[in-house]
Amino acid sequence: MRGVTVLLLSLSLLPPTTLAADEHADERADERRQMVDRHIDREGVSDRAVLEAMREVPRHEFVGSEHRSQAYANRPLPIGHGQTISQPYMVAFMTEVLELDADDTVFEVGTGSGYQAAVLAEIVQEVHTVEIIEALAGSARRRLDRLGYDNVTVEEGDGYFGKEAAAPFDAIIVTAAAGHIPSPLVEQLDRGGRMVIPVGPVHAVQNLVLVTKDAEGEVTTEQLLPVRFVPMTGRAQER
Amino acid sequence: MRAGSVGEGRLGPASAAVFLASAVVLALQIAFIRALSFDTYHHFTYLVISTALLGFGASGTVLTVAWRRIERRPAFWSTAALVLLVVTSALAYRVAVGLRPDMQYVLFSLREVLKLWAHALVLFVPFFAGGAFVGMALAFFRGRVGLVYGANMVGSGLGGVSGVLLAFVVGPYRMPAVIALLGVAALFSWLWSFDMLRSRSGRRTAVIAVAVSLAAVVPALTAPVRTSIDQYKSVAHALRLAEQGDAEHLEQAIGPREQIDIFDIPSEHHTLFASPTAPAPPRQLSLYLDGDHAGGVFLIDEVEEAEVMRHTAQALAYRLVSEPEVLLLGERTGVNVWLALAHGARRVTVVQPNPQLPRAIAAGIGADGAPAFESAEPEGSEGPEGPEEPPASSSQAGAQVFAHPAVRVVNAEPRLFLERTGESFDIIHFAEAEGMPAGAGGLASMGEDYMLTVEAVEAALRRLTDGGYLTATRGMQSPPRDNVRLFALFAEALRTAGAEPAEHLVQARNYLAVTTLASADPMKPEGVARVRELAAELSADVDYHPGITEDDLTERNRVSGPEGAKGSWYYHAAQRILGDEGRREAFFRDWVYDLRPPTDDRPYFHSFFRFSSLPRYIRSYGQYWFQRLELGYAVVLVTFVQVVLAALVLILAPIVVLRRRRGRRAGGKAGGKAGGRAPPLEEPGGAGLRRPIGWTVVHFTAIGLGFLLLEMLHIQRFTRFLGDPIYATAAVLTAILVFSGAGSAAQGLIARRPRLRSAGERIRTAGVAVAVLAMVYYLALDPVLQLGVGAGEPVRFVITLLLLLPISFMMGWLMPAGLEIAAGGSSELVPLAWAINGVASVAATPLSVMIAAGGGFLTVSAVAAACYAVAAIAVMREQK
Repeated sequence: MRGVTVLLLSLSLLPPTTLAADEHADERADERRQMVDRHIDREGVSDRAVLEAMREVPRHEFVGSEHRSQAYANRPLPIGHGQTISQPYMVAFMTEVLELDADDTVFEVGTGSGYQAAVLAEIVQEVHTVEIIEALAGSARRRLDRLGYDNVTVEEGDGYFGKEAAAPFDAIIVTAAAGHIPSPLVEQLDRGGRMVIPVGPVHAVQNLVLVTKDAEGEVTTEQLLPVRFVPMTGRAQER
Repeated sequence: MRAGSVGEGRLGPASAAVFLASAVVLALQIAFIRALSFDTYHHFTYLVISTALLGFGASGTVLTVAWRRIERRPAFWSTAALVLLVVTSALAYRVAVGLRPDMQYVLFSLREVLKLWAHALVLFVPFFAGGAFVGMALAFFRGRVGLVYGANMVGSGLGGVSGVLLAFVVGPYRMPAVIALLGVAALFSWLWSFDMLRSRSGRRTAVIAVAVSLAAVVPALTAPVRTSIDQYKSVAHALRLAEQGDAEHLEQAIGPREQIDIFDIPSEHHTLFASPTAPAPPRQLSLYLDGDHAGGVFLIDEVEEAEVMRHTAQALAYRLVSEPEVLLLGERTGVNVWLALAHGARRVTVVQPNPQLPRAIAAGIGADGAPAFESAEPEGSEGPEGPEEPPASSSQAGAQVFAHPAVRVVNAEPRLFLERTGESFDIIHFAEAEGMPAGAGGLASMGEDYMLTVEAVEAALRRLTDGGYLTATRGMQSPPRDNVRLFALFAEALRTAGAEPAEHLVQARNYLAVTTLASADPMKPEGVARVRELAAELSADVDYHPGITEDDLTERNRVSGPEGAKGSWYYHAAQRILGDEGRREAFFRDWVYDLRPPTDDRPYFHSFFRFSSLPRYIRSYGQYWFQRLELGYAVVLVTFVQVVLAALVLILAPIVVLRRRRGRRAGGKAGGKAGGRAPPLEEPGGAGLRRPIGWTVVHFTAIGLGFLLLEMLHIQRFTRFLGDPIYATAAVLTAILVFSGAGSAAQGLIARRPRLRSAGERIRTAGVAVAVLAMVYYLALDPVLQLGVGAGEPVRFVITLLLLLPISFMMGWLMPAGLEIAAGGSSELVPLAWAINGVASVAATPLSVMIAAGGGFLTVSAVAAACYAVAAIAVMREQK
């Protein structure tokens, strides 16, 4: 009974908005489960850790209020500054491709809203993410802090050169359509590491490429599937 | 004031007003296309402009429906239409900017679809107003319709040319306000033709009309222009970075061909097709063409700093030839010049069609002097003085690679240069074809490319030295299409040149792009071994070389291939393309995309769509099938369907109205009630009213489609001869519109000849003549143009005008003669004819592209000829 009193007291001290958000989050857990079941699990993503992470991360917290009602539809949504939050299937697919372990360190280029970083943070030990748009980097940092993702480091800057100080990485994920694979990222990929990156022209179909560095440091690539990403610092839009 | 009397004695100023208003409409069309191309995307531009042009058709429909009311106050309504044209010319684009949809979500959101329509609707208004004004003028002056229609045609022709010039001088955003001034001039002329200033009420109307017009035009001329670039466009990102202090906008050049922007963005690291282990590219500026990223301009002084270029897919040919003489066709940013210099090129010839581009790059770099340009020179001539020896180092070169002493820049369309030059090269690099695969995006996929045809590649093969190579590199697409077609194209050109393609071809790919080579001589075993060695160095896999087997295949970059078989789709496609004719045909027939090698008759390298594959698209991609479709073709298709649907409404609605009216009149007459109220719909000879509606629909649909099909066809065909699509559009539009305007204006004179006195006879004569000439032009044009290809630009321009004179003059007969018949039936049929002609003209634009991409120019010519034949036959049937 005392515990219940303490809990109620704690809840009453929370700012009203947080309480509302939490209640809202709980309300939408069913929507998340449905989204994962219908659009991700059924479409072939089978990594249990990825599916669990997708069920956990409240996607509606990563979009503007005007798009919250559509947050669990399997489609990209605008987040301003010419950027979008990725289609949930694409987030799950790219995360699965990285074959992550719980003790991995992952580097992400293109933080955007921070949603992909949050999904990664549910699975691995440490996530470093870089965003070139100052305003987006700031809002993502605040959002991830608020949601309790303390294993994510958000930096503002140019992801092309990676993050030498935190390298090597077990996995790298690039969520922007790039003209070519940045060689600094290949260098910062650990032996046995995997990188996924969409490569190709903007406003057209690109190829999602998996880059693998084997134990000897040999680099090979594999075309995974055609995708369409928004330009430059854009994010996954569709399969 | 009765309709028909308004212009008596004032035909001159009325024709001048029609001339100016027509010029406004055409110039405005060019302004909107240019501004939209920069702010949005080519395919969006196409869709919006096509929708807006429906204004012509809609104007005729509204005139038909409201003709009674208009007839009662012709001066008021025609002046109102002209004022609306002036006001909306000045303001429509500015208003439309606020309604532009979020293009990324048009497929997902009804709200965005509605915004798209609202946006097009705003741009539609000036075309509607212009169409309404000209339509009214034709109806008012239907007794002398030839001269008025002639003014309309000539005004349109000169409006197109002046639009191109204005795009150079004031740029697309200021153009509408400047163009609106022409509209004000048209207004004055029209008011004069009405003698408006004689009466008090006329003076009041005139003052209000002029005041309203100037109230819109003056602020538009003086207010700053606010551009609104789509937030997802590459240049929008650059501007955003500039706003936050992470980039600098260095240079902008505006022209009719494209808008050039150069930014310094330190976070930009562009290098097409570099291998994953290549060194990082050097510091660079970013080049944007019409708002799309077109590549990086290296800011380096030393060749060694361009080391990354030695690790690109396109480096393969350069590593096979030592100290080559290089021809770069359509090079834009200069990175391939560095590629050539980094491989010790003795001399590099850059052929670049846009003279503004190297100048803008030089200005962006801040170089002291712009590079020296050459025009396309006569056959066999030499370029400017340059060192015969390769530079040991480019330390003296400076950052401006186009001004390097071993480099010369020729300002010419690459195809034209190839046909005119007598020089030979060790490497001919199709740099213009380079880039990420273009087939998936934009209307470019439906644009003609005369560089990637069998005839062009064959011409390039003739310019190779012994031991030389043709090379082209393109990004990969899934499923493969661009590069397989490129391989098929090179193979076909070699076959046409009498070589055995299997002995000359190489195709290799890294993770990103495919390079296709064609050698001048059959490849020897040591050459093949060298290719394999270089592929390993460049982290590439070879999909074809002479003698390749499955055992030779590597998997440095894994791509998909047939299930259960070794090797990529590229490997298997190459085997089929080089197989016997039956195997090759089966391959072309069965592949999901159309991959047949393009020819000059069907120069659509970037168009891959085939209707028969639609079920396979839908099966393979499920709900995403539409996005997977070749977008360019899809947009053309959507536009065509939209226009046809609109056409049905716009044509059927006035027909229904007219029939009802006639029904009422007939009923009234029969009942002896209304016979005195409505004027009888007179027809010369008193033959009754039976004919004109059905005949009007057939005649004006046929000539509307036929006219635009021939116009589009000749723009496409003369592009190669004139070496520039802008010049070709200007020359062909001028010739066809002005000469057909002359044909229209001359109707009065022509009708003096006894045999051609009746409008029906003139239609029959002109219809047959145009049908025959269309086919004669198809057969004879290329050989005739080939005779003049060596002439200078002004001479080629004059040749174009002269060649198009006969057919254009005859084309000009059919509209006024048709209107004469329609007007004889009823004054209401003139607006109906105008509506039908407008809608058919708009529909013909996407139709001509679709027909040409599917069946080539022969089919377009045949369809256009058939349209004119139908017009001739229809009038003969009526005369019976």
